[in-house]
Amino acid sequence: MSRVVVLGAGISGHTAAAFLRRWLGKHDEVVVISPQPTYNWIPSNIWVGVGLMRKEQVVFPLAPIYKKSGIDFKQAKAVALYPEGTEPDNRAAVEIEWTLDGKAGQREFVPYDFLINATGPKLNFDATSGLGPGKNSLSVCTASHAEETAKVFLEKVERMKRGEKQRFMIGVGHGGATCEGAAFEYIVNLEFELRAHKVRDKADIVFVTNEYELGDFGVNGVHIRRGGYVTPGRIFAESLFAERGIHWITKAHVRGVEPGVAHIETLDRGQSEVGFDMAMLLPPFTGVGLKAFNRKGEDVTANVFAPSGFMKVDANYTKKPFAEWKASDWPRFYQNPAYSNMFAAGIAFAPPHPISEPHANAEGVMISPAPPRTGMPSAMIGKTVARSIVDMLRGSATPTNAASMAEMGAACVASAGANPFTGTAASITVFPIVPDFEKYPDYGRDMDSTFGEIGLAGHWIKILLHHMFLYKAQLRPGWQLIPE
Amino acid sequence: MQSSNWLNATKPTKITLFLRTFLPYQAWRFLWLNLKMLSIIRRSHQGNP
Repeated sequence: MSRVVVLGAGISGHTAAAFLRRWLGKHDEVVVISPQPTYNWIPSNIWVGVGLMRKEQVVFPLAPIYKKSGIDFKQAKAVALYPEGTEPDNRAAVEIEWTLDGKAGQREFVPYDFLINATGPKLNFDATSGLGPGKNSLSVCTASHAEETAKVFLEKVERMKRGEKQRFMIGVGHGGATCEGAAFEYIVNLEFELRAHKVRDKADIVFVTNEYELGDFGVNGVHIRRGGYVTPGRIFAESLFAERGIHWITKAHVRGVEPGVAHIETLDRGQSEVGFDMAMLLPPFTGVGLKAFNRKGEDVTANVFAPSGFMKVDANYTKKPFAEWKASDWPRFYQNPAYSNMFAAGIAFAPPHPISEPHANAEGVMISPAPPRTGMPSAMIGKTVARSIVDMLRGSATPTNAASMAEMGAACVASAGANPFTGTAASITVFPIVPDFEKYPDYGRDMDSTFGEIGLAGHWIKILLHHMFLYKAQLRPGWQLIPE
Repeated sequence: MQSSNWLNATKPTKITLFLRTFLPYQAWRFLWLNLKMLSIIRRSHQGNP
């Protein structure tokens, strides 16, 4: 009998747990530890954030799903890892603190044979003063944040209906943030909804991004064949904003947010203040702050985690100039180099370096996107790690399955307005996610598999994906047949 | 505030805008995009579970 513990029940952790349960024997235990009682299909949060969906449409309780599937669910947060065990217990263990009502605050050790760290990120609003819900800006990172954002948005719509002008500032709230794609989706949906509410003429809309140019999305942009040319994604992103009358500020670091005012610094224009009536600014991510201790109780966090708080895996973390970055630097197995029975999946693994070319201001603050790890790669990594662990439990000495972001593609559908007849979405695929200039010298990507277009069909696909992936996540009959 | 240079941005023509929501064309694109995305997914899964 063996026990595999999965930390986190997001896209990566939930996928890993579901496949572990499917592939492991009845006598093997799968334990999921997550501080939240619900699963959130995060890609649809942008629709909650403009009032098109209710929170309940993008979340569901995990406990009944896991009970039915034979997965042990502990609603708790992981506090520390003891990969060499604790005295007198030799077994590796994770220390958890319950968040479940009635047990909140209680701590216990959960021993494991294998551990998958899929905690996702800490939303680091504190990196920018005044940033975040409860302070001076809003977010759509969680369903609750999105619900709160929708309330403010709809209140602003009412003001505009009464004739008031409003300025909306949407984007990322720090030079080192990621998820520019989500901010991009939110702003074009917001603009679409303002038109639907017939108040577009009363709105000034500004996009604030740390991207060097629009369309970078943290993956160094994409090139697409269109109209007889290979065209950079910037052209399409700027076009999308220009036709919608959206302003943009690129190369930007938000230094602070006060009520109604953002202090913004850009790489080429210095510092300025930009006023707003509503700001939805996504935070940078860090690891969740897990500690690690050896058998003697000594802190070995630095051996297990990168300074960012994300877990080290089989990547090449050697610091080197941008021109020397290689696709082969990226991890294939997601196995921790210090402890072979620990893996990290999804956002929880430490990338070897950014994908986009880094830039910093005079103070050394990075003003360039951190690498995104979106739903498709996160789920694929979770599934791949689960398969390797199953094979290792059956005798394999090393991980058996690889899922490098430099060897896999990603399909992304970015909503640009939700309506079954007049809505649109950008359907984008890239292959591979991390450019490989040794294999594809011109653009770093296979141009036959990298494409994008905008249209109503994309919106239909987005709706289809919403329902399909919620069905899959609820582990309903045939869930395993739906690809990641 | 930095002014966005809308004049220099590429903008879609009327026919491009029309096709974006023209149902027969979008029904075809729906099929084509699904097949294209499935091929990317299949390629990404090669050698994996």
